[in-house]
Amino acid sequence: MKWSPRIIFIVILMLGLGVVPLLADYFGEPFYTVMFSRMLILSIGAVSLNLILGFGGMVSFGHAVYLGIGSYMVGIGTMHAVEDGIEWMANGFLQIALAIVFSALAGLVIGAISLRTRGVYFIMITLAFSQMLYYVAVGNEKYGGDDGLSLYMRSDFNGLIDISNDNSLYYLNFVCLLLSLYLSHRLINSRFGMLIRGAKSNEQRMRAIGFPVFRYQLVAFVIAGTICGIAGVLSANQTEFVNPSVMHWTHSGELIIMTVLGGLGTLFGPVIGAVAFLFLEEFLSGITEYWQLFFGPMLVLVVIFARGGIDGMLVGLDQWWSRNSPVKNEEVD
Amino acid sequence: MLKVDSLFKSFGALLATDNLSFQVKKGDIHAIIGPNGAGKTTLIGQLTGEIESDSGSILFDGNNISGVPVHLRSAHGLARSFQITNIFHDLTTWDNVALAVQAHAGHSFHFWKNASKERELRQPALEFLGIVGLEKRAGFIAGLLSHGEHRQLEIAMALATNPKMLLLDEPMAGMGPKESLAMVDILIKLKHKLTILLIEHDMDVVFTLADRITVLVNGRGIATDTPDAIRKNPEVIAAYLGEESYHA
Repeated sequence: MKWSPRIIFIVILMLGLGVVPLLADYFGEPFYTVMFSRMLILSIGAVSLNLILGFGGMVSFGHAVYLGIGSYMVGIGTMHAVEDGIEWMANGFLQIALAIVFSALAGLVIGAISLRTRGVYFIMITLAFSQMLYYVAVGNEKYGGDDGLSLYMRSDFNGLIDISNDNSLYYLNFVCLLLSLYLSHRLINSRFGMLIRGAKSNEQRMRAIGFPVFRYQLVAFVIAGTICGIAGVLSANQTEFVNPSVMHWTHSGELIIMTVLGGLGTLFGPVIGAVAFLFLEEFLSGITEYWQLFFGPMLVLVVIFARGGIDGMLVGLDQWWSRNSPVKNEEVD
Repeated sequence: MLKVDSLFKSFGALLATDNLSFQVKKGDIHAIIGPNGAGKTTLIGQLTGEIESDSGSILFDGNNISGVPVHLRSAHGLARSFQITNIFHDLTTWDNVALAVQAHAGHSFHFWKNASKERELRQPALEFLGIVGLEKRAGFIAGLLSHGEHRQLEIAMALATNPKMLLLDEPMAGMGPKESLAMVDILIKLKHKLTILLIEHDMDVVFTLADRITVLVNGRGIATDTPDAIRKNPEVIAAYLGEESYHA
């Protein structure tokens, strides 16, 4: 690996994320641990979306559905544990397992139908499915309906990890983010990943050289949903509250914005995007109530002037750096 | 190798393929010529399965492949290049061919191993790049290559699917004279190693390369014969060659 401004930026970002709770404790501002914890969780969501959106070219406008599914696994489980005394339902491992199963199932159904379409129709169908599940959650009075569920305790990991403490939850999130990044890295460079990227680049050609594209795209869709479902489990524990709005289409839109802002189809782009998005939200909303008025134009500028998002700007910086670096590469004809 | 029997296809009132029958012998370069709008590209679409035929049969290597989906025809050993360049623009030249190798190396549910380090994909891919003379371009992003190199890359990708027969849809379209010559050299290298169905406008090229020629006019095959016989065929001269041969 060659050191370049981009690599240094990413290393500092990841190391920085690794020490947030320590710094927050040192400065006596535990609020920042919670804020960055949210960044980590949404980073996982954006990393998973990036698998299908950035690398696969599948513009899913319903990715927050899986955050919702994961969240409700925790919400429902904890509710039964607290109200009905069924303690095992608060078990975190069980909740994660259920989140994986149900997210995968949802991804399978949604993907099997929506992947038969392309372009705008694909966007609309994924959007329709997510709104459908949103209204299921709104209408389900037993589990809080529109008001949602408050969690009176966080998931129980058999005493292995005690996430009732914000710092340990932060590190659970951090480890999950690192795992999702590593998994993404392996996936996108494997044969499977080459196929998914090829299908994004030129689907007709993929068929002509003999790939049955649909089944691979479907598997990618399911994997992305499943990872996001796990992020949902973490998210519910973070906020100690579950309500249908987590699945709302605007939330799916935010995941897309984070991914695009950070850089589509790059490994760390979604993390950069999620951190930048939440940071700007926090910063701008501290200045004015109408923060979106300023956030919107910034986003437009990034999309127009930096096609590859923030990560794309860093790549540009790298190229500028290598052109102007003191150790000139020898000119090649 | 390939037997097309009373094939029909109409788009509304337009008969694009009209009772077309011909045979391609194994090892031959078989050219399809005809004026613009004669239905050449429709025919390629029907052969690869992208266009569904209204009726008629296509026998390939003894199997009836009419109605077989696109990706399975490729598995049967039918590969095509496109009239308009059709490659993976944002991958490297090497990746492009490696993907084509991968398409015929079993299923692709391999989630963990780094595909760009798998010798069984990369090595054959490099060899196919060598056949078309692109090995020096292996590491380049494919979108940055010249037009002629794109066509060469297409041939390499088609070869990498290990086909019994190659369908080439105007491989010289838009090429300069030098690039055309390079392409002719490549096709001469491939001659008799595999069967080639060649659709081409350039009559010099067709008469240099082809073993047999089918002349298509308004979707109908008016003659199938050797180049010499086609040159002398009065019907062909009247319909097509007459004017064109002076340009050549």
